[in-house]
Amino acid sequence: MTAHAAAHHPPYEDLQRFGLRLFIASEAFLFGVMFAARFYLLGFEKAEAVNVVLGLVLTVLLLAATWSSHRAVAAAEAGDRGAMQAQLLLTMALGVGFLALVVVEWGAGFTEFPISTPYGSMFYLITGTHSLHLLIGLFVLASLFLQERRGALTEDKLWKLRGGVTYWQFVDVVWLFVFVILYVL
Amino acid sequence: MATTAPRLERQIGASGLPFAVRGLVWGLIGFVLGALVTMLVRGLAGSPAWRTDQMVVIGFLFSVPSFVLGVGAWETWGRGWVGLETVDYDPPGWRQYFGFNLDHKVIGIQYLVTFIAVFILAGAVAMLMRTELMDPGRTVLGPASFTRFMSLHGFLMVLVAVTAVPGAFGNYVMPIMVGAEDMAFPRLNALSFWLWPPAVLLLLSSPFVGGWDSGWTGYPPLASVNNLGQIFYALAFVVGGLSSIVASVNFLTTIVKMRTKGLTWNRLPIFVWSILLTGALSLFFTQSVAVAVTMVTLDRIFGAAFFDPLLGGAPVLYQHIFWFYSHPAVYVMVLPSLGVMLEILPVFSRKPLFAYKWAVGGIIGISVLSGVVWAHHMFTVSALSDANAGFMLSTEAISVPTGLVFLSAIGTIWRGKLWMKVPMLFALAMVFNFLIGGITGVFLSDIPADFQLQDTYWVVAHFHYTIVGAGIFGLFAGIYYWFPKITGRMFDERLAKVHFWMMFVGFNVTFLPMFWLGLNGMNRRIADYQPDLAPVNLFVSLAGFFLGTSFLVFLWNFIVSWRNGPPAGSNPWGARTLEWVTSSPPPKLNFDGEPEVLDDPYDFAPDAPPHAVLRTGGER
Repeated sequence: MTAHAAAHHPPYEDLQRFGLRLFIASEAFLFGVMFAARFYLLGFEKAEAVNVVLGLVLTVLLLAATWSSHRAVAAAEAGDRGAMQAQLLLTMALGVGFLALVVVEWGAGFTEFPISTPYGSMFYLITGTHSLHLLIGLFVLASLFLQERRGALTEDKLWKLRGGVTYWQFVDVVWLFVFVILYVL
Repeated sequence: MATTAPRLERQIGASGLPFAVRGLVWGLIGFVLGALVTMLVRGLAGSPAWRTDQMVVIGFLFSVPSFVLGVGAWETWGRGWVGLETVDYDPPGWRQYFGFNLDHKVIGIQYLVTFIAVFILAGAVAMLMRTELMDPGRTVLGPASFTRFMSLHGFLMVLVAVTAVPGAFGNYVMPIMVGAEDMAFPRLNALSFWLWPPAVLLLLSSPFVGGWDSGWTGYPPLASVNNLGQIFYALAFVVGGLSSIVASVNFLTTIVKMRTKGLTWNRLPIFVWSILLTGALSLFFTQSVAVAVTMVTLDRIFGAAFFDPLLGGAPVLYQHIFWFYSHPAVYVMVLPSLGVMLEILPVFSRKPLFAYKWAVGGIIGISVLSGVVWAHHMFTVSALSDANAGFMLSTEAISVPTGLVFLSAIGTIWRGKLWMKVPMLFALAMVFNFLIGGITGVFLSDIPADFQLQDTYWVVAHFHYTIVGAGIFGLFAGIYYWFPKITGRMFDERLAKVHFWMMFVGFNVTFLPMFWLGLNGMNRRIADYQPDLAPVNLFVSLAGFFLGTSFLVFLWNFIVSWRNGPPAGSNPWGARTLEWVTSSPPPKLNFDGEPEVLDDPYDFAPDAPPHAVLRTGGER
């Protein structure tokens, strides 16, 4: 909709940031409802077999990914495209590593706390939904990387990067709640 | 931009098969792909490869994005994701409606026509149900088919009620009312529409796999063990829910960020307020129903334990999550229509909207309270729970903000010079119907009365008085009010009045006796009833057929007038809001100039300045 560029509304980044915040608020409701369901169904009960150390490793991976995604934006704003690409790649690698560990964890979990138990049901629902969101975030980052490689991510399009990274960091923050609610409590 | 790739010169979609056909093909390919992936994963895990329900779920989840890309999202959007130049879908003529068009006016018409079609189909199913209920015992459907058709009717109509008014008029009229050239996110807007065809087609195909029989509410444990159609219901709910969320982000951003110069919050047309609050409700609560039906689906296809008591699950948990969305959803159904009503009443009373700020406060109050009343649907489930009293009070408290909206309506009509055109007739009928719907709801919110009335035709009558009597009457009020704007033509006034009187009388004689049936113990959702209720049921069925016939009159008028009606001019009703300042239908970017708002939208005093003017050329 290039014809709209000259319209009397605020700059597109302003609209995009507002819309993204609304969407993130909506997503917070999605996870909030599932967290509430976890306590309704199980109280503070959890499967003793759940691997807290692995959960901690997963948490560290996503905290690192939050930091590297932040570095990517900072590098782009400083005009250092090389560093931005490197940080984006690092973020994606951390995300892929996270998903690979989740697969390992599920493989073990299916025997320790199968989906046919209430805790197992909640565990796979919540971690599965989270991983799905992380996968979408990975697609967004990959798309940004591809656009950058093809030279389409120009200075005036950096809002795309900022938006994609905001979403990525939201998914990372959700994991902190998932970790506390499924592994610690 | 120096880095831009060579622009795609070809006009997409201007010839050949419409993009919608390509979407169907891509969607089908996606479905097969998803099903094959499922078989592959199952085979690798050592299970038998074929499992229908899992293949349907994964296949559908693959097919929806393929369909959306196929109808044109690939060219207009997807190419950008991989760094290629995008090209807009904007062919001339009828083809513009059959692809991923970004113009909010096209999308509004797509929504309007699609959901009128769904409304007519779901209405035809109701005719079938009333045929079965003409006398007790088995008539044409039998008990099993009756519950399935009841479920299909209920769910399709819920989709119409949730979607039609915001989808059609929220998209077509609202951006013009706020003086914008389009919605904030045109691509998300097109996405929100094109998610619907897969969901609707899935539901329409559900009878071929035996449908589902748990109503539009889909409670487990029944929903965990019945036909495959239950999964179709769940998938349609998730995809439709995603559409609602995407649309809400768009509505809210457009209203908050894109109002034109001078359009302050206290000059905002009341319909825009109703869309704002409706958007907020959909945005937050829709996620909840997606969780509920996903959990049922996981119980079914992966043997999860959420709602199976034998495995330690809790069926009542479903009801909490489901109604946490679905009670706010009834206000999603009604608020936009109340907005239409309050928009129409001042125009045809030639008076300012009475107590504008209180009406806005009422709409906000309804929205806020709607989030804390869900358990009133569960009084008989959690009998004697201490929380029930609280839910009774919060429910009854909703009548206070609703009363503000009513007072605004009545105060507007009060001593006005009423101009009885068809949109006004529908708006006045809404005041009447919604009063009955509201008062009979008070009985249901009262716990002791609810124990008697729950699951009877009292409930059926009550929610039809609110959802049809206000929601659907509001849809038709809006159709007649904005028809000249959208089509540029005037409808046949005489046929429209025939439609109105048939619908208004037919609606009341159909649903008013149902209160009596409910008080006399007729159960809802069941094909049979006690023999002494037969005469009233026969009467209700005949009245229902009469009501059904009224929509044929509407359809005839709608189609013929759209093609051949006389030109309507830009402002046939003498209204003041911005959509009447531009031409009918509006030009591509809505205004030939820069709109500027100067005054109140409802000040009909002869010497009042106009609500808005268009600044053109040198004035800019």
